[in-house]
Amino acid sequence: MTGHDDAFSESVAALALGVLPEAEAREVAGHVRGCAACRSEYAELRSAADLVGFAAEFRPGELDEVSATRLKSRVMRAVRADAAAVSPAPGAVRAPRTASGGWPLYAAAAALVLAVLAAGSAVSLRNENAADRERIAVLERQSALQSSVLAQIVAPGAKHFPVASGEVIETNGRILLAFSHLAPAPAGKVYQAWTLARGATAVAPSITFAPDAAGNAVVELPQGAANLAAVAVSVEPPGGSKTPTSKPTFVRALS
Amino acid sequence: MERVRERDVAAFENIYDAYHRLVYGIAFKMLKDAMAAEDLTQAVFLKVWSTPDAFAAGNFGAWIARVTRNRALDTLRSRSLRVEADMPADIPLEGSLDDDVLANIDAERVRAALASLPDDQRGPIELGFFGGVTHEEIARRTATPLGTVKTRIRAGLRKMRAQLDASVAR
Repeated sequence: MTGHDDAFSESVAALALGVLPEAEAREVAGHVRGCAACRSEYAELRSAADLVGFAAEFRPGELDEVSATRLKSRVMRAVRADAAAVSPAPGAVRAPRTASGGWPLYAAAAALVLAVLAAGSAVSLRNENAADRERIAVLERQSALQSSVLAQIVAPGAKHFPVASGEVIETNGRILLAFSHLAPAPAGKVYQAWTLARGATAVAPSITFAPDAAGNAVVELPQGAANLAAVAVSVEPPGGSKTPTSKPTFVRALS
Repeated sequence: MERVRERDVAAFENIYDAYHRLVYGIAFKMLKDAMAAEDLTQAVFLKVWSTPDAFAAGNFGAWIARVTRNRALDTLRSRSLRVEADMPADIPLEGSLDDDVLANIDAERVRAALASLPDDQRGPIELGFFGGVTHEEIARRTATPLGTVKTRIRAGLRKMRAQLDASVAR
């Protein structure tokens, strides 16, 4: 136990709100752990800080009903499919459950895993509407490939790097891009991935791709993860470009 | 949550109904994009379903708000074309941080508590929470000395806490 130090008093509140740079946060947290007075103030202010988000809650009726219904349908469909998949079909991949915090999957990949489970076991979704049946048909055609890819996504040790509408996944020496609700590329265009090798000053062209009707896309880059420093995606003409012709939709460092 | 751990879909749906406006609200305020907010809301609730043990005990609303904010910060970072330093991590301390006194607080009382703060205290708190920026960035954006920003955040959170305690006691 260390003594109270007034120099940390102001920083305890900033720590509680989560606005300290990482190095300073660690220093202040180190003091708080050993100082009863600061620990007490931290606990009190942290409880208040965590509630700040409540101010953003939509009031009943403020949320667009169509969007709210669609969103709930998405979530509940994925959950019911997972709950129904007691015995996954051969080759299907079950989302791992961890004992504590952390993100074993990013949500879109999780939804895709759950959707493939649903397609494989074909239990609950078959009885839903025509749009669902069409989506199931697409998923079933893709399921063999996706089972392999998704096994890589959920593999222990896979690194997940969030990007807009998805994430970059480094797993077993491979690089995957996984998206959910990715907007279609503009008419007559496709998405193209780019890779930046460590020490390189220019990106190298990689695979082109387009999301499916639901905005899902999971692709593997042929380059592999070795010696890659970053991955980017831009919108390009069909067939791809040798150098980017548009501003990247994202650039993600693999670190 | 105990029933969710037992894979009870109906229990999960009750939690969804109770908290989706909170999760979506935080996501929308931070990301300023309806579709991205929907994706994030789905992500948060699938986390609740797939890893229910991530919530140990305490104030579930505060926990899911914290999870939502952290996930939104990840998304905000991923939107940036330049590589940024990590935002401060959640630093665990010994013992529970959750406060039973505020376990059943509602959004209206939080809004009232925030509204009671002077602008120069409420502004840095909201910018820090929803903007996901450091106190140094808050100081820069508001053209205020760093020490003053820290003082105002502390005074604002203490006052907000007092207001919430008083509203619960009434």
